[in-house]
Amino acid sequence: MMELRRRVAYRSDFWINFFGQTFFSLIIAYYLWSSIFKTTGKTEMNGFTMQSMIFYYLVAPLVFRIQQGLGIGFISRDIYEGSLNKYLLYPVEFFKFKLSTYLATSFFFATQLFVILGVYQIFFYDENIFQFHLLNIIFFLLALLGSTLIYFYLSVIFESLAFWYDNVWSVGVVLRFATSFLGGALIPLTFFPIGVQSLLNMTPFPYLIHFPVAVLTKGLPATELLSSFGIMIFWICIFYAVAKLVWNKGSYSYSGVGI
Amino acid sequence: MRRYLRLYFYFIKFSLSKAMQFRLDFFFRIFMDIVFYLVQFFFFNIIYKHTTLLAGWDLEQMNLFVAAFIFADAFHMTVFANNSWWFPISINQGKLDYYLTKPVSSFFFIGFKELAANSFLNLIIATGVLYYFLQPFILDVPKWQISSFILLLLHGAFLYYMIYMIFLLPVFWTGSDRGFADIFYAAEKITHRPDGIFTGFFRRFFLTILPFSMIASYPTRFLFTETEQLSIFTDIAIGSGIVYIIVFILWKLGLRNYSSASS
Repeated sequence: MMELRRRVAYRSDFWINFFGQTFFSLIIAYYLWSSIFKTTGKTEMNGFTMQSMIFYYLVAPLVFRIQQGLGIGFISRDIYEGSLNKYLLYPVEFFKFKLSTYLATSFFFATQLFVILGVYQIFFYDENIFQFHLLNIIFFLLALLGSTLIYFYLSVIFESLAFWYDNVWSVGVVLRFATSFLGGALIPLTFFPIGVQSLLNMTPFPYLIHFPVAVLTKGLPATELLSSFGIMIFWICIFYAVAKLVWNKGSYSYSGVGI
Repeated sequence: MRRYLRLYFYFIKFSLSKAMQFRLDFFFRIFMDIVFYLVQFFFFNIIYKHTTLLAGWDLEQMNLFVAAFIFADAFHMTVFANNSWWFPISINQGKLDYYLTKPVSSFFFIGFKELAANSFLNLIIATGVLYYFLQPFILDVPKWQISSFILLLLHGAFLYYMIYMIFLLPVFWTGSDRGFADIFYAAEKITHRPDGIFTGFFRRFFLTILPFSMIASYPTRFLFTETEQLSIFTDIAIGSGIVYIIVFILWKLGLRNYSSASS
């Protein structure tokens, strides 16, 4: 609740930023892909029509935003500024506290996504692109939760480097660039060469953006869903273990500025 | 003028020593920008696997356009980016007082006080990349046109900063510590797309009210054209002039409205 209150403290900023971001993302995607479809003379490319492409660019940036949670510096800033000290006095474990505030922020951005989906359903309904099936929505929410947890633990690993190197903002930005491109926020992964797609499938990136969007729009078959969720759980466990290890090592190096 | 140059020299000296305090971040920022450059090239190279032309440009021309906006971005990152990042925070926390009391232009102080030393290394890399992708055109294009192209890109970097300020200056009224930076980051991606893809109202919009297409796309178009140089120059002058007037007015009004949060 505290995190949600903080998020809406500057309401006008929040909503203007939200609609502005969505508006510009769509405008750029629309004109770019209109130009490509027009030049090639095709009506479908790699499983996308012009309409489904626009829907993809409506959803993918918001999915990407959801998993970003608290954003870059959510742990490294506490370490660098010494505000980690205060968490030592809280009657709750630091990791759990951060995870809950991270998920609260993600939840808040998820509500934005559902506002957009609602508007789309009312004004631009096209059954070939998106249908409001309860089961799809449940799987989509699970995929969102999974991708957010993967990104959270991956971020914790990089953020914890602040124990040794103080300022690690740029490391977070590199992770964001990589996720945006290799996860499919910039361009759908089906446009990548087949060899690259196979390589990417061995990494966690497709499960961050491409997979949740595919669950929402295409309603994947049960076997694919099951195997993808299994792989997601695998990555969550791996990153959780590494994050714990790095955190435990790093906490011995913590100097506690300001104590 | 000499006073400002001397002041800028001290800004550079201070920025260099500050940058070396965080060594990992220093080198990672270089790596970060290289990743950004690679992503841009990969993006268009993937698109050109599915089409031969985009906005009338082939892959060779598009690579030069990407190199052009990377160069403008690197120049902006080196000279202005750190300063614009801190600007809304200074207003939010009432730290603007410190700059207002200095015997120099506060707008100059805010815009130039910190130079990103690590990004300067990226500027060298970006210059090399631009030079590399210019090679196929260097024999066919007159030297004055190439020099004007570089000058237009440097101007593009300053224009980028000024457009960013339009999104940041509202903090004088909203009081937040980010302004409308999130919208800016969504909108600035127009810089990364060739202006030829836009048509109608939005084409005019991105050439006048928010002239992102003037930063790198129009300078690149200037290089390729044989007949439209004058009209491109005129368009850039008009588009930039509108932005500079808006920033000037917002800055003056903002200062009048500034309440100094901490004093």
